[in-house]
Amino acid sequence: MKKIAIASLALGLLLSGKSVLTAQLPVAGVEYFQPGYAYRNLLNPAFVPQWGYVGVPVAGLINLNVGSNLGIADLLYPLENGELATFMHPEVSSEEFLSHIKKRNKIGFDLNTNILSTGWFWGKAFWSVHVGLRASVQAALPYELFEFAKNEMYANPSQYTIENLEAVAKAYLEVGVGYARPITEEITVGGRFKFLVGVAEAELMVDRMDISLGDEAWRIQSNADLRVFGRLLASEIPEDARFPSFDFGAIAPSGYGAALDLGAEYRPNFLKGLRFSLALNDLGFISYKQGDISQYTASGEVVFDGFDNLGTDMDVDAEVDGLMSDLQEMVDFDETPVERGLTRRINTILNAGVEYGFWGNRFSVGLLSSTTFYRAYTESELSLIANIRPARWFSLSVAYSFLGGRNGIGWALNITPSNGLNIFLASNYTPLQVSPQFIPLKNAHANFQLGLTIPLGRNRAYTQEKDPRDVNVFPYSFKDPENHPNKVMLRKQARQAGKAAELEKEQD
Amino acid sequence: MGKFSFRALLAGCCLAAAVAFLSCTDEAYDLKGGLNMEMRVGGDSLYLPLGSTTDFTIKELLGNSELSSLLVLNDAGVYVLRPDLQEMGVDIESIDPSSLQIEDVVSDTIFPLGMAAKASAPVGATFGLDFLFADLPGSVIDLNRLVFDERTYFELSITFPSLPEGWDLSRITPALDITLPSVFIFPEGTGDVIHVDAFNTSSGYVQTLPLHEILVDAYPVENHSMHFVSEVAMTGAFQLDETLPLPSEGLEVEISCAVRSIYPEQVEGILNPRVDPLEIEAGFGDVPGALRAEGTSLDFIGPYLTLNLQSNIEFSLNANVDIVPVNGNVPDEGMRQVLELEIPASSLQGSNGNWYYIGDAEPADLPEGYDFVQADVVAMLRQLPDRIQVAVSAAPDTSRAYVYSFGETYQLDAAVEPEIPLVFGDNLFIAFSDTLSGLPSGLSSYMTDGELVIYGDIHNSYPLEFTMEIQALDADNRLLELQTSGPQLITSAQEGETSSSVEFRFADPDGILDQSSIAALAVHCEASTNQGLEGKAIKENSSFRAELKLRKTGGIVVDLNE
Repeated sequence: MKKIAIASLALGLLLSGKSVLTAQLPVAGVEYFQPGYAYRNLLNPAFVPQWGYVGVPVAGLINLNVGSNLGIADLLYPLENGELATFMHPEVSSEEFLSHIKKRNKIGFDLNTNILSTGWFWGKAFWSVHVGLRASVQAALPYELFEFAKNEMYANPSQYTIENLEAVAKAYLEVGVGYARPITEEITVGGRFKFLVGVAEAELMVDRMDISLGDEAWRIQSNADLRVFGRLLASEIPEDARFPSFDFGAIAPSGYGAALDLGAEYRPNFLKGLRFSLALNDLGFISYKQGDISQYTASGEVVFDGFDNLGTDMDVDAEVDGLMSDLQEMVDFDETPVERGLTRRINTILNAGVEYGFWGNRFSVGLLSSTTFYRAYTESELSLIANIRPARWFSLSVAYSFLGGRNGIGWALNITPSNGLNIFLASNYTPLQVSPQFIPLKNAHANFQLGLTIPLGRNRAYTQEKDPRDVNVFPYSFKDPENHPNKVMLRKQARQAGKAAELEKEQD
Repeated sequence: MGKFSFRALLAGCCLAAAVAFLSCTDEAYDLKGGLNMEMRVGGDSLYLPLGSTTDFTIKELLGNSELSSLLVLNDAGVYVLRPDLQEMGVDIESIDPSSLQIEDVVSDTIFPLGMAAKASAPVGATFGLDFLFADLPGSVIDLNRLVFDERTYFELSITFPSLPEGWDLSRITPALDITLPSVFIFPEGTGDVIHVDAFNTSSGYVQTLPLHEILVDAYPVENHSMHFVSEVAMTGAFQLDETLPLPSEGLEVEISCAVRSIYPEQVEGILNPRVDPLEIEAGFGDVPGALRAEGTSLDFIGPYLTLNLQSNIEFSLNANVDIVPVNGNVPDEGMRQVLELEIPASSLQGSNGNWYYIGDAEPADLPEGYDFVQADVVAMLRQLPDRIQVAVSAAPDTSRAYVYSFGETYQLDAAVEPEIPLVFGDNLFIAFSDTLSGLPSGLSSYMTDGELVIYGDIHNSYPLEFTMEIQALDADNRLLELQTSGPQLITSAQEGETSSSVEFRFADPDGILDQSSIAALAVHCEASTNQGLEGKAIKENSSFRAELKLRKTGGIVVDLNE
């Protein structure tokens, strides 16, 4: 039953079409420097949380991320009469619209869940195990595609070359075992091995499309490949159809693979509170067997050089239908044999951060660079993050991302009562400009994270000195020796005791 | 919760609220009011290859009309408009031979033979054969000859009705010469005189001679009758046997001349059998209105009609041929042509009758076997009629005598075939229009901005010059006064093919299309010739082909909300 639920969720996400395709993959963000965040070790396997934990099944982690480097304000424009129109409206100039369009325009969706997870301290090491589902859809649309859509014909002939139009959707399950431990007083390293089970994957690659539109002919030459991996998505080209149709297939693993996460943290002694971290996550692949791959190719040239029966007795509607039919030949896919199995790498993420904590680490500021290597494109982001940990049970982070076209504010809340559930809520992207419907105007990014874990053991941020084995697994303490609550209390008690003694003396 | 923790929580909430506050809402992007889905498609300059028309040969232009089916190529490779040969025949009145089939004409005389002459009894007499043909048909005006069939014969008989006892023919020897009428024509070898010198029957003598003809040219036909007497002269004697006494009552001999079994087979003379008028039509089918519209001038060079008249009567017929173009059921009297033709006797006709080439001028290469007849055929065809009606009224030429054979069926057949080579003079003018309907809905809205231009090259190998204009019509077929580029000239081809660039522009600077939309396009075309094109022919490879393109400046604006 669980398998069906997982498969259904994954497939639903894969097939849910446009609404999902307006998204962006998750990268490490505001939660990166949140020590209370239980799954921080997923961002950098060298990180260890404040507590050991057991994730709430299924809801242990839900990280939804949608995004695009295009926003609603890039595609919709207010007119002088107050109406809102698409970029195709005559009043929207080509120059204005295209100034908003990037060289590669990306849209994406990503889901990262931990279905089962746990982590615990063992000696000087921190171990973690998780079972998670990863699903993502990405598409990269080149500038020329939008240029063509807006300008179409600007001269005779008008020519376009559209290259590397890609769309990739994939889903896989991962089972990971992580390990982290300090190797010196200054350095902690960690790693995770993940066994990957492919659920489904599809990729559409339009290598090149040459378009020439003129009064002699409309000529479109295209070369596109579509591959479908796995048995969950059964595909075939129906009779009299041009494009493959998809249906549910067998619920069975479609491919297997493995991945590694590697990370390190460096805390130099010359400046207490300064921390450098580096992680390379998801360095891996999934292999699909030959029999689990369907491959389709659409290649050729469509030329329209005029109507067939030009004359006063011409059936205009029929001829236009014929023209549309000709254009549809561009997506006239034919199934081609698959000669061997294929291996697809998964999206690798490189996180690099530097953080400085002060006031007994109750405050810190950090700079995080996160780069994701998609098949279709590479995504980078730089975030400035401020963290405050005013109490044992509460921490808050605020981030501002200012590279990668995703300018926006992120926030994270971590609430950990002394006894009970650890609740983590975060959003990496809270856009600064939105429509009344809260649609980002400039960069359509949105992220939501929910983590529900049950803390295990003591809060190591405050109990380090009480560790009987003097093992400093949690590498930095929130304890300020001079301002530790115990010392404050002792000083208070001392002051109160001192005052009482003076009173006694006076009374004596 | 300690004081410090509470403050920290408050600070965090304030920070979160600040973040939310910082997210500015831009009302300009409120989607609640919907989207204006007006879009420009095609860019600033939409170019569309419309394609090439088919090669509009003259057959294609006429489509599946009946007129098209009448177009054929002649031996010179020139298209000619040739309606199917129309034929009709009428019987020529038959002359009843019964009025010439009279009873036997007999003349006889009994001669007494006396013994005074003893040895010979001379006889001499003239037998008048009295022919009376009463109630001759009115069509018999005069006769020259009567020709009989093989049953008609002349008979001479000599009998002795009362031969005395003891007498027999052996005691009588004839010596007679019977001179036959010179108007009687017997078989060749038959002399004009019959010599009788012996009896050839038990009762006397009988001689029959087939009578072929009687020459009657000396006898007029008056009041439908003809009367004449042909005389047979007899001289000679009978020698009697002197040894026998002649009875007192004498001896008598009866001599008879007769023309029997009078069955005329032919007559020669002046006859006037009635010939019913006949009327034939050569139709052009459903002629396109443009070819007969006001102002149309087809100006054919060398159109002609071939008329075939054929009779099997050995008469020369005088024929009045009345040719008139007819539109609907109304003859164009102003174009009526009346021709007088002579149809020779059948023996003088060709094997297929007599052929007439009716045209404006005799061609240098008049086909063999044709008689040229001048008529203003060009004027008659200046606007192509529905049909050409040809009425033939024929009558025998009564100034001459001809032979008429009884029992034959005589008729007059006529056939007419117009042949109009598509060769034009310098005054051709045809204007035709067509309407292109079924246009895409919303075409008008596409034209509110910029201009629509249909342009391209027109390849013309017709020896005709064209002007073409396209105008927009509203739903009530009223002209929309859009700004257009006016008529476009398509030059003519002296030889080979010419290519003319045309450009039909439509723009609506005055906002006419705001009031009413385009429902159809009216295509108006005029074809004409000039002096340089005179005599050029439309041939099999003459065609008209348009390679058209479309340009819409400002693209096309569509509103997907509509």
